[in-house]
Amino acid sequence: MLILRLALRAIRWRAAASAAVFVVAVVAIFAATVGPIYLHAVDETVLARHLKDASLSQRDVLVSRDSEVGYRGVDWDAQVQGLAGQFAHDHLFARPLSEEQVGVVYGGAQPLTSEVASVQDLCVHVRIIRGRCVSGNSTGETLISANTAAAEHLTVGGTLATTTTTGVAIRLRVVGVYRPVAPGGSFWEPWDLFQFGQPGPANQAAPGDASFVTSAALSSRVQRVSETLSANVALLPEDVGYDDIGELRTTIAHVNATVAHLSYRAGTADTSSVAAVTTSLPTILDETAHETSLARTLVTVATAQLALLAMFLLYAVVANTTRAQGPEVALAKLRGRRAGSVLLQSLAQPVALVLAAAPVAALLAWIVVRLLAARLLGHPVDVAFPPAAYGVAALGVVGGVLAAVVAAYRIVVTPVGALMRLGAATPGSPTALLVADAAAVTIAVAGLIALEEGGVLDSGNPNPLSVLAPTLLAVAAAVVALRLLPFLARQLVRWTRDSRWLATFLAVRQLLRRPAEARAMLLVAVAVSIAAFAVATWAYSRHNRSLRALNSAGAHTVLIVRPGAGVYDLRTAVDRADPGGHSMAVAYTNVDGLPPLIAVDTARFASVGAWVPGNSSNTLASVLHGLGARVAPVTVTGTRLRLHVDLIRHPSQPVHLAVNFSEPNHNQAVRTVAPVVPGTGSYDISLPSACASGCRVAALDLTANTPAHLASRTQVSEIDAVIGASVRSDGGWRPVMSFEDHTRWRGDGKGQVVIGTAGKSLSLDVRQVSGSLWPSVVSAAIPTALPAVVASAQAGVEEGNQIQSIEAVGLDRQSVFVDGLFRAVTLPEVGRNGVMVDFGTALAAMNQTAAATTQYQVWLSSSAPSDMAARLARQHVYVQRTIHSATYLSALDDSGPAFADSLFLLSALAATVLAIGATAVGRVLSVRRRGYELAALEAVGVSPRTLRRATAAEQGSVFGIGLLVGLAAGLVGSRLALPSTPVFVDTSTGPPLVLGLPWALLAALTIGMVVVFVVVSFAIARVVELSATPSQLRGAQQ
Amino acid sequence: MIEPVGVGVRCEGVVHIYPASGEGLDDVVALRGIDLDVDPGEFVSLLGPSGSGKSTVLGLLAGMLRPSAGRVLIGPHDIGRMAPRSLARLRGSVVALVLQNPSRNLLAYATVRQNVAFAAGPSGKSSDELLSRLGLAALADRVTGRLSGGEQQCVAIAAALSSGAQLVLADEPTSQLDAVSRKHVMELLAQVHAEFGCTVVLVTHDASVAARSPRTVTIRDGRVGSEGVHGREYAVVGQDGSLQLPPELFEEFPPGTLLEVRRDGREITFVPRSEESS
Repeated sequence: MLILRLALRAIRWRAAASAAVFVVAVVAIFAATVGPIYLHAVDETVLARHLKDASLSQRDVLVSRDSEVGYRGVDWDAQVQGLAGQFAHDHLFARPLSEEQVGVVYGGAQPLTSEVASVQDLCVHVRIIRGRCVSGNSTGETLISANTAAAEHLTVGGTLATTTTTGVAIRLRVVGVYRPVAPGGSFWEPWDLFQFGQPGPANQAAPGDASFVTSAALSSRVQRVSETLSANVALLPEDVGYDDIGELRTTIAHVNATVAHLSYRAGTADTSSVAAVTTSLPTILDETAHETSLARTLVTVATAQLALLAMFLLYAVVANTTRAQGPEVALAKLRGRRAGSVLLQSLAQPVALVLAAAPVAALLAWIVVRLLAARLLGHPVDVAFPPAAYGVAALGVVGGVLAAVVAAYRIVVTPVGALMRLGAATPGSPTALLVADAAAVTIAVAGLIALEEGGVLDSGNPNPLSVLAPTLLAVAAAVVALRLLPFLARQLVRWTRDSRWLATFLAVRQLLRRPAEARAMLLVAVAVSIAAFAVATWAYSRHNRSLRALNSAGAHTVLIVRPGAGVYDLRTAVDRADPGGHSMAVAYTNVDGLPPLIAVDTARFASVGAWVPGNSSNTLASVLHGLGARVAPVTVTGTRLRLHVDLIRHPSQPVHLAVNFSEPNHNQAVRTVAPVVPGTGSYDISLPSACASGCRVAALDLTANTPAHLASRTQVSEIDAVIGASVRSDGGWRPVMSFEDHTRWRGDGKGQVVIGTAGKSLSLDVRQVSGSLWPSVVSAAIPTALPAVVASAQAGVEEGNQIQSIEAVGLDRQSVFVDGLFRAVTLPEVGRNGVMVDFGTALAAMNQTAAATTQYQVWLSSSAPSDMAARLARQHVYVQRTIHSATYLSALDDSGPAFADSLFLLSALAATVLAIGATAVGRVLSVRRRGYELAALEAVGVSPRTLRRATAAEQGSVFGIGLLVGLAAGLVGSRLALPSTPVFVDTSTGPPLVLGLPWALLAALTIGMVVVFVVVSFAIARVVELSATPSQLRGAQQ
Repeated sequence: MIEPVGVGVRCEGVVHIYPASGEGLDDVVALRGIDLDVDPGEFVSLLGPSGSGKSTVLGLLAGMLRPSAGRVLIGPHDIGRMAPRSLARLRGSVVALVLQNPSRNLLAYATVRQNVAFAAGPSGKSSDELLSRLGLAALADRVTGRLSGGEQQCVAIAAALSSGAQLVLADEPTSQLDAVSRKHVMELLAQVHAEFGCTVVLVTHDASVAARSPRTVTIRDGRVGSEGVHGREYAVVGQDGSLQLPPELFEEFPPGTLLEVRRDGREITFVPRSEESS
């Protein structure tokens, strides 16, 4: 007891040193504890969000069974109630509410399809507007809705005539009329009993509201009518905590096991024959667990590194404090106290401080998380102190105690003579130090290898070596720097010994004399590496979430638009609305069974669409160029078309020439010249009226009718003609230049077509394939297959991973084939399943007007005009809905991994404080220890300014080297660790990870650290001056 | 009531060498053969200049050092042969050390009473009784770190006695004190010697301090040079027959001087060779 009393007195006597140990212990244990507490809050928040976002039917449990008419073997109602009753004992669920219903048709004035139902607690959840609620065991009463009363012209006392779906008539006396209380609320949600006024299937009576009866009314009819028996067990989300997930799973599993057992007893493998247990709760819990596991890895990384640093610092401070008791230990040995007593004496103070710090630190961690949780997590959350936090706090205490024990052991085993000679400074064994340094480097290398080969996770759990690898790398690098420092210092000593750089000489001399003090570099390096790692991680995470959000939306802002009448090419309207090129026309089709297709304006995509580096092995420019249309369409603008035809070779049958036009609205029109006489001739055809403003020539068909008796014979007929064209517009004729360029035309692939140029005309040689099939000459602007970029998952489902011919749906909802020229990891908006084509090419491939299912969009970059909607409206394009990528980003920011990122920022801040604090404290302690030396130097004429500069240079070099080593280690560590962190590995939907260094942030961090360090150094410079006084000469002697 | 008892000290040809502590440095021979006998209950001062080896002698007597050669006996205990644990027990029960720096003798943050109890150990003597006997009762509840140097040394002496030590070793206990405090401390040591009967060996470089003890042994260059008993100075014949001249004669007859030793009855005369020639 005397030892303990003395320890408490000593703590008070050395208040400053004790406070330092206490504060460091609090910080260390705080750093270790805050992670588990925050993670628990994250878990709770993620769970609460998932439960809140889920619908009632998803998170509640519905047990149901249809009764079997005439079956007397099982009391189905009891069975359902029994299964639901298994939840009754679980405080996480509300009392089961049972419901029975029979499907009926009301046979009154208006046939209505509805239900006759019995619902537990009915009368509390309806408002009786006339009469009364059904009650007791009445079997002939009913409560009808106000809608039913009005539709069927019924009132209290009337009779509701119903017929079940199996033809059984049920007549019930109306005793009351109700309106439901909160029909969309949690009570009524499971059963959907109020459908009056909603559209119903064709050829059936309209839906109506249910009419309610007592349970006895249905039970009495169970042998004649088929009922649906159900019990809804509502989850109480406000009572569900993350720690309850196991219990929830167990309860659901138990119910499912009971169902399986009952079906086994019933002799069937079909569990639905027993009852159906419907809930999406396991899926919700799985999604929650997945998201929290992503967060857990990140939080583990952040916490482990910070805890390692904090423990490191705690070890140093506690060990120093324990060693400082050397004179007292020597005195105890001189007084002949036993070894156990001496050990207790040397441990009592630091251990007492660490033990006192533990609850304070734990409480502080809880308070900090509680204060910041709402802000960081964006949701109010109850912050608890989980068991893991207790364990971590205990580990922190153990770390501190271990430090004291190790330091105390060295003092206790040191002979008393050596203790007294050396005072408080007990030197470490150089060999032991070398072994420790070698071990640190070895572990760091092992950690890097583990990280490089296995990633952060090992069988789904964070690999400790990998998690700590970045920090261990900083330790190893600092150790190497420390070992090299004496060589550099010796050289500097030689250079500065007789020079005018006295301050530098004193500084490097001190580093050389007392290499132990330079070990503070380890702390600085580790702290800076943690800060750099944390900043890099936060920046990477945030940046990649932004890219994902952008990719999910497609662009910064997406306007869902409806082109008005006359707008056939959205690109034109967008170009006119925004000549600056900050917006882009997009069309999107998505039909079940076929890949989604997105058509983009490749001329504007680069400045508007979402595309991250590394998304494709080809550059974006080459991709866009490859998708674009290569051939201009054949267009005619006018009222008439004159065709100059020189029919050179032809079969005996009359030759017809059909010109297929595609109107601006993609309506197809045909004009036929028949017959085309042999030799040269000109033929005028009137153009479709839409061609007055321009239309396209889609195809030319040279055909000759095959007589019926020859249709089944295989024969080859050939038509060889030269065709030119002129179009009449503005009162004159103009040649159609496209007929002079054979490259503007192609065969349709259904037969042999030779296309050439004959003077200013088109030379065509078409050969009939069989029967009456003649190949067409098609505008080359209409692609055989749309050039496309195919997303990775889409390519993966194609046979043999071949992407050359993929069937999709065009803008006219017709089947179209795309030719995958490029592969990409992901495509904007459609993700990893889909194809992207050029808008113009997609339009050219249309054979009919655009389908109503095609969605048109205008994508906007962040620089787009703010009044884009109005501009588009002036072009007769109307905005129906707006999607912002910020909405996606907000959802991503509201996720577990994003919450974990916030911890990284706190970690960076804490590490920065520790780095600077450790260096500053080291400087103060060094100066105090060297008070005599500094006083002596001043006494012999060294100016205080030189002394200040010397200590500043000394600590500045420790801090500077530590800063550089730490920055490098932190950045290398983040580049190695992040790609294998689950949140970045799990990119099943998003774009590839972009790893770039956040130079601006890192520069700000570095500059900030240096500035704060300089400020702190100036602030404590006064301590140097005060320490180097002549009075220290006498005090030092003591 | 504390029983007065002392223990004798005997050094036989004690040699102690400090190993070199750095490159280019030689081993330091601190003691070159010390022969010293201190009777139980005797009060002896070891006088000598800095570096003469007197503190080394004290360190050996306290069991903090082991002799490189020779024997050191504390009562029946041969210090050189004892295990560290035994030495620790010895220090806890038989030998007590009072250091030069008053603050290093005590726990600065503890009270006087607590310091005495700390030194006494589990079997400790009554702190209050001891303090009362030594006239220090008024300081019992004061924190030692706030006492003056003289008061601290007095408390240190009390702490040394609290374990029932039979041999009190004091290493320059007054060197950092002013004249008044020095006198007070010496008086307390004398009181301790007289009342408790323990053997006191005091190391000092101050002849006036040494003069307060009945017997003074002068250590020079790692050897016993002379002894002063009841005010008279005696040269001590070493084991090898060597004799150290008093310091004042050493100046007149520097090393290498040839002296003829003449004996006339019980008188011995040393005649330098030059005088002999004349």
